[in-house]
Amino acid sequence: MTEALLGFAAVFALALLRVPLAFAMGAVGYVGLGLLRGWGPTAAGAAQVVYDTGFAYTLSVVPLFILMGNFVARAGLADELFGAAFAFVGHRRGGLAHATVIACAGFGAICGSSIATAATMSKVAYPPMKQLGYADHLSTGVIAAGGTLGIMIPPSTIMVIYGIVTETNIGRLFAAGVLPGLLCALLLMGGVAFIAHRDPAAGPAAARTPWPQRWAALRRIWGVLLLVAVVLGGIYGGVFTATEGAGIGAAGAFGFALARRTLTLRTLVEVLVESARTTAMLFTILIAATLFSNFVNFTSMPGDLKDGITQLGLPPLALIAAMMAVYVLLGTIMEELTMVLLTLPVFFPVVTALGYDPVWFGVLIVLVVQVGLISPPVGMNMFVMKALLKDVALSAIFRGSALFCLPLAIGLVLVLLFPAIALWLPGLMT
Amino acid sequence: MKRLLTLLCGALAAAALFAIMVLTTADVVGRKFFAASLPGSLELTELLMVGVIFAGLPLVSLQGEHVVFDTLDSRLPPALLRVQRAVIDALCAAALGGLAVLLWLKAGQMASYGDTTAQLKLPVALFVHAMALLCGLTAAVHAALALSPPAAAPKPVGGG
Repeated sequence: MTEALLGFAAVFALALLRVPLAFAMGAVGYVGLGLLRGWGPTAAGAAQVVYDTGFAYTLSVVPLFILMGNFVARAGLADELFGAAFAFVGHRRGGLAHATVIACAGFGAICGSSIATAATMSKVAYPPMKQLGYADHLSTGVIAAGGTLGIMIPPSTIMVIYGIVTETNIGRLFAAGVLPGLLCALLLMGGVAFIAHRDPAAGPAAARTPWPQRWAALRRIWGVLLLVAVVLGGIYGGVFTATEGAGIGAAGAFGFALARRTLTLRTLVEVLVESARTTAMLFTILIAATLFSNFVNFTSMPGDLKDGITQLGLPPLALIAAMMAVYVLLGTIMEELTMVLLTLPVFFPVVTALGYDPVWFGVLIVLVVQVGLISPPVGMNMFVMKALLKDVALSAIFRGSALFCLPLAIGLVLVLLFPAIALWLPGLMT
Repeated sequence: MKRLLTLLCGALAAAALFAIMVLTTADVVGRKFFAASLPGSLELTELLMVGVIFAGLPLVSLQGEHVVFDTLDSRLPPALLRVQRAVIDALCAAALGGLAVLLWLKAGQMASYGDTTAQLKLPVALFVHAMALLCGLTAAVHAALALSPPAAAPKPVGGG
């Protein structure tokens, strides 16, 4: 137990000293295991981990989904999603913010990254909101929060990584994310309505779009809907695996980008290299997290914790709630993916020992990550927006994001209390 | 040097990723519509993944895109920050260099066993050697950064 705690402390200390988190986890895992188990087997084990992670067919799902999202962003489909959503709800109070949430949900169905969704929507939705006189905290808050739908509504990078690390079926995880994702979108729209109601000047209504133009806007997004239907429908229906679906999705998105003439050889290479870089960055973390969890699993910590918790005799749901509270607190100060990978070797055995469905826990994890991504002071979505919208004060982004933490937290509590929200849909899968 | 590295690794990673996309699609389409899957497409994907990840790695390091906790940056004097960066890059270089050596040894071992892939009978060791080399190249990138730390702070990129 002590060794593992020292290990965690060392990772945090190194991270605070600005050592990249992957290197901190990997180095601590390596040294820790070396001290416990001997250097020879540790060295061979480390090489094996790198080898196994590098040569893994199922892991090709990660770059393929990233590639799909990047192609779609490049094809300008996000503008059309926002346009269609705007045509239907723009005339309401806070209508552009509502449209942002809807467009984020739609974009989330093709893109598996919260950061990419927030970044894309910053470019698409912020300028019109600014033009109409929306308060910065409402516009940036709703984009940051809406961006997190990217990881709840499938596909989802973090679900894929959770599935790989815990050996949980990725198709079932994706299915489990659909309803909670829609729930989160509704809750965020509730948040928008509340803010716009209390302060009407923060989110004025735009002009009403006549019906013929609404239908025209809707017709423009058929391509997105088709792509989503083929990829996700194929995965749920068992027509192909998540990896194959990702490949088809990437090829389909490539086809769209080609058809819209948004690709030159140069931009094609740019998109590919950008996706490969994101992949390499994620795999560095994945390899490091595996090294670290090999060390933690070699210590007595997971066992001790499991025994200690069983002896406490707390109601199981209270334990899960306590874990979620830890995540929400950690999420305010830590990068979320690292937080999850760092804690899974300790938390996951407890969850399965309590008899809970790993799919449900995966959805809960995504929910806390969503909250973490927009809870100040450390949250990637807020940083990405600050980097893209240089004129907006960080304090406005923080304020807006903090406001939208509440609807997502309500979503977390609801899925915690009613697991069926997540588990009903995967239960229907064959 | 920097441009050559970006060009070569970028081309390798991009080609590998594009090939994975085409392979996966061709495999599924072939199986669903023509009842014939591409032989060895699984293996090829695995080998190409090595290209995507390990050719991408030097680029990630070069552009400072690894996830770091940089909230304290604004509170530190720039001179100290530069020293801190240099020390950390030196440590990263050492870690990756060590890993490259481990991988090289593993590759040698696999070569001596004559390990090949199951279907296409490609020598696995070749690809593990490539992994080791690209890992070593990334170590070199960090070493170069340690010797001449960049002035501007890199932009944050995260995994969520």
